[in-house]
Amino acid sequence: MSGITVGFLIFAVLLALLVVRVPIGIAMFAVGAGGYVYLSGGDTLPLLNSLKNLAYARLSNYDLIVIPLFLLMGQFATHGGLSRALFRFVTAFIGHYKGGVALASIGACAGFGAICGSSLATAATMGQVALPELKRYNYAGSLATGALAAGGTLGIMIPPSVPLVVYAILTQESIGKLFVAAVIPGLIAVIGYMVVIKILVTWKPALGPEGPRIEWPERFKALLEVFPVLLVFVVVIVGIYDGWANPTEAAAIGAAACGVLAVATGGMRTQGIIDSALGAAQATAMIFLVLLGADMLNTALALSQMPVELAAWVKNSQVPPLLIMVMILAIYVLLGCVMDSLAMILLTIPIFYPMVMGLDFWGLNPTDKSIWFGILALMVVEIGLVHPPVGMNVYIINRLAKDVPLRETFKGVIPFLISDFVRIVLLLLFPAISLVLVRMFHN
Amino acid sequence: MKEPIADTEPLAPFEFGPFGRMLAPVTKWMAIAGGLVFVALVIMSIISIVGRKLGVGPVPGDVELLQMWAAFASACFFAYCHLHQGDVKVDFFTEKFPAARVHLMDACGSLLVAMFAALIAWRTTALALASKESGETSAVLAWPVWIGQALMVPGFVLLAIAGVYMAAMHLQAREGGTA
Repeated sequence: MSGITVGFLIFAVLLALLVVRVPIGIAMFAVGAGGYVYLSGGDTLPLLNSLKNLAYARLSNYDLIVIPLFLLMGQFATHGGLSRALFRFVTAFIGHYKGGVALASIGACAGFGAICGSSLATAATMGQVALPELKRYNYAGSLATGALAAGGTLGIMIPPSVPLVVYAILTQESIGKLFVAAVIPGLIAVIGYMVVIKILVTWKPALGPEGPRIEWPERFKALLEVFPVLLVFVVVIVGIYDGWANPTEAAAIGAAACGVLAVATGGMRTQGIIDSALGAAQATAMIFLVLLGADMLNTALALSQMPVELAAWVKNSQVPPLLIMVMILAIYVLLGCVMDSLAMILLTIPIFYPMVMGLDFWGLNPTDKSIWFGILALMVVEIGLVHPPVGMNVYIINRLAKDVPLRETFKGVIPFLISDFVRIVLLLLFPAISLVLVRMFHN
Repeated sequence: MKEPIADTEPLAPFEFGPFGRMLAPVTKWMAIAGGLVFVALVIMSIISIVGRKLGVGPVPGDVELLQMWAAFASACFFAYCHLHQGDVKVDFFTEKFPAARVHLMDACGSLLVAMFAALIAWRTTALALASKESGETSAVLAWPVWIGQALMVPGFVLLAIAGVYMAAMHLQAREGGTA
């Protein structure tokens, strides 16, 4: 059998296992191990030898440690009530506009996303804070839940972002550069969502009435409360990028800062710390199990030569690179119908990355290309969180807003999906949007 | 973050039987211990960074300490996650299936988790023994490497136990009882 055949066989079995609810990490591990034994000519000894170091090498990987640290940071931010302060702050400044409370929800989601690397956590946390307020000001259920479900995705779009860390590790790209590259696309996402809300409330003012008008002294008080959050974000991102702290150290600083803030201003006590530890434990284990499985799968795929052969085949096929990229992005949208964003990245990057790197896109150099593709992939996997049928964020918000039917929420999300789509096309056609900050800082 | 993945599980959480009531706190405290190790590592990193900036130098061997203890702490998390049905799964295709069939699939899934964990525990033990034999030590502190590797084993052993237990729970639930 050729490498490509073995590779496709591996994927076929993998999909079958996924359909019958085998945990994704375990399914990846099983087919990877099976493929590895097959490719070693039926001998299990090479597999057993390579397994020796699988867990230790992975879990003691210095770069990978940023994941539990960022998760811990997000946990402290959640249990320390930082979400409430953020929401108060944004509402104080823009709440009095038409649709202002929904605009503020997006803004607060963006702020929370800047200290939290997970979309689900952002949606859940901000939903708890913002939904009651949106209801108090008589916002339409579809707008309230749609805005929050979409806003939740800012959790991974605005750095720090766990999927970007995983992408960086898989492709040996710099975490710092990817984080910096994600800043402008993340801001465009925020603006896009806000524009959507503006259009909706102009069209149908009843959807989102004006919120409270807050006077300047109050605004300054609100600003003071969130100032530390802003500081944490700047320290983490600039620290990583400037090189005076590596990503792991920056994540440690972020976690420490959020922990201190949570204890000092948010009233987090022993129970809060234990809950944070457990929350981080659960999320870390979820991610690391998939990571271990993906490691095994990638070892087998590399041995099969399938990614290289496939990349060469695509390169020689004379299909325009842009069309290939559009197909890759379409596959992500499809996979997003059934799969979690991180699992998608882990599953597909080993195949797609060599393909993309072998093609020419506007003469980008390899580093630029790999950063640009990372940001694009992140943006596309993120919309899987809000589009049907899985749309995890939609379910989370819908559960929090008990009086809004699920159908309303999915309907409310559609305008935001359109803005996601527009943004992805922009990023696809203008790599400079992702690359300009990287180039500016990097010299 | 009340990590909401588990909530999307169509199945209600289990009423643990006597063995589960023993296992659950063990996994929970292990997860908390792992989380607190990370908190300690955060504190150590801060001391290290501040020390470096002030010119007194970082904590000696900070990188290797971080790696070794992070590996241990991460391994502590798995059993807790599995016992709370926190695994990432694709449930799109089986949503409309009768509960009994879903339980059967999940029993097989948990059994595979157990086999995976047992395999990793065994191979990591082999690694630790080999490192002990060769007397490999860490670069700065000259700590024996095998200790860090061996520390990971209990986490995976516990995951294997949790996997078998959850498989039994799913099979019981399929017949409408609790273990």
